[in-house]
Amino acid sequence: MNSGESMVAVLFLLMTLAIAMIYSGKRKMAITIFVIALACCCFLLFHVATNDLKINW
Amino acid sequence: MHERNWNALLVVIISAILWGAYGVQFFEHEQPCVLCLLQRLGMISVAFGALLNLKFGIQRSHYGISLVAAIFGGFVALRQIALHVCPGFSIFGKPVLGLSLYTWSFIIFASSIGYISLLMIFCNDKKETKMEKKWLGYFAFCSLFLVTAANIFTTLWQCGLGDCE
Repeated sequence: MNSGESMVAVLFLLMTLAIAMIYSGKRKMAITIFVIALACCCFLLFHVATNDLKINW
Repeated sequence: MHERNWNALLVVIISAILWGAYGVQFFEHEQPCVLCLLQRLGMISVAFGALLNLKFGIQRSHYGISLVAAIFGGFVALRQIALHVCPGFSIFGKPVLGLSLYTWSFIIFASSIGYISLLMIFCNDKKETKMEKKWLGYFAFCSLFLVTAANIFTTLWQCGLGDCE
């Protein structure tokens, strides 16, 4: 991955997985995936807010 | 109407807003920025808490998830508003009904917090309630799942594995 922005598609994937887990009745798994996704969102927001995205990390 | 149906309604409304964002993206040719995508993720997260209530019954922890997500999304929207609030800086994208999309986004997150708070105040049913309208629950699930899955492909199409243009 080149930058944090490419992570956004992965975050949507994680959210889709979390919703699918709710449907299949796996509550703990759904919440775990969701928490990971939300933590990544906060991490990405931090990088956007600090204009750090142009650095390859 | 039972509390679960109010949660289903919240999911349906958020899904409709996300489909509307797609309308602006494709018909107005407005490509979303990273902050816009984060706001979409925030809205999906708000609906996620409501979906948990739909499937596993009403719990305060589920409302907590939605509230945390709404605060996160509101913060992202405020950040974007702050970027364009100074005189001389143009707004990002075309305005919709006189307001920019990120301003609408902030209003939606603030309204979600109000909506969830009202549900917590007025609908504290102790007994487990069943869904009155099952079709509404299925529709909410399908709509949110489809719009989230569609976002994977459109984000990959727009950004690939590099910077979003």
